[in-house]
Amino acid sequence: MAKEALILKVLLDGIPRTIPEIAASTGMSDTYCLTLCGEMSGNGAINLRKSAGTWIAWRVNVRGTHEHDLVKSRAGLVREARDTEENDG
Amino acid sequence: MKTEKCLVDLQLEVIYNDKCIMCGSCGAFCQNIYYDGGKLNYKEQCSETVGVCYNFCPRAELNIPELELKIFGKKREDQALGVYDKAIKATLKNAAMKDVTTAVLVAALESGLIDSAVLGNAKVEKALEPVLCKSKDEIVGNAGERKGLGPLVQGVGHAIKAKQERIAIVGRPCHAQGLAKIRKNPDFLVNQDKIALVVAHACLAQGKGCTVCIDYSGEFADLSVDVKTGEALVRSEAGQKAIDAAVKKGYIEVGHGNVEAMQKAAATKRVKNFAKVLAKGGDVVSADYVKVDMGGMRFLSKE
Repeated sequence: MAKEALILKVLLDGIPRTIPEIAASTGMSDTYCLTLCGEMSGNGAINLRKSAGTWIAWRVNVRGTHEHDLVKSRAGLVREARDTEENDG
Repeated sequence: MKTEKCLVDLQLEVIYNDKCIMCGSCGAFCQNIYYDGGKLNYKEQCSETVGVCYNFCPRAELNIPELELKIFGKKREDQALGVYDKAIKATLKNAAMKDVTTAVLVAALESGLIDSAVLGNAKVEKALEPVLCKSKDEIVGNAGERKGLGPLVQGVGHAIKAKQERIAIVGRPCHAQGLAKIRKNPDFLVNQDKIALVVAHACLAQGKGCTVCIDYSGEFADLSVDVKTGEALVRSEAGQKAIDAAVKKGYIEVGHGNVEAMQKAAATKRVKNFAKVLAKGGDVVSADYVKVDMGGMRFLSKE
């Protein structure tokens, strides 16, 4: 599997991570990791920002407990609340 | 059937796994994916969990026997070349047409079988860039084989958007595989019925994702052509109609084909590259009753 795939796997949970963190998880050097993250952010695969001198990468989460699921569950709660109101009414 | 996988899975399994052949199937009907300077780019980190990108990609999942049944209604008898009705040898009679494929396309256009064709742009060297040809001059102007890989299938997506009704495409076997998945996927309705004719050129390309390709002749095309020899395989009614039109117009003449050379090349590619597919299979590979850990098999073969 290519190194880019390893980076992507680390970022799949949607949590922003610093380059040293990603490099340590994927077993590559910080410089190489930053180069790959730069390329991947260039084509839109991940986000990369510099914050107070530290490079941070992240990707929108599409797995597991995702915003999308939270929205769905919230929608469920809203519907339940509305049903309750209707029943009360 | 929809596979509940998305762009991330495509990136992990195909794009960053050296299997992408830049055929353009993933981005043909997705606004998020685009190709720029021979590279795959994304407008945003898509949150769709069931993506057309994954479901249309020929490298993501390719159930060959199932697709054959869906497209041709039968299973292959020729294990090397796939399902075909007829093998022919086509000879160019009208030199202005440049090659057999161009002659067939022009005849199909003039006979109303197609109204446009997606070809590799002749102005772009070393890469396949789709160009939509709506006239005879445009088709002849972009005749011939292009080198390199490129997103021709996305050209089909653009042609459908441009309201073309009967679209032809000339590509490689990988393009035909992607188009087969698109054409026979009832779960994603993208006006795929507008794809009227798929012509594939026999291919021994050695690009980045080509090493795991087991299709030499374009097994899911309507018409497969070996450009160098003029040997062709007619696989469907659409392919036969296009050949008949070219013969009727006097652009080509047709004789009995000899598929031995094609069979040999196809068998070699199929066997050689399937070994690479097996080697890429990460954990467990299943065949018949048995599931085997490929890591263990690799260890034994090294021993």
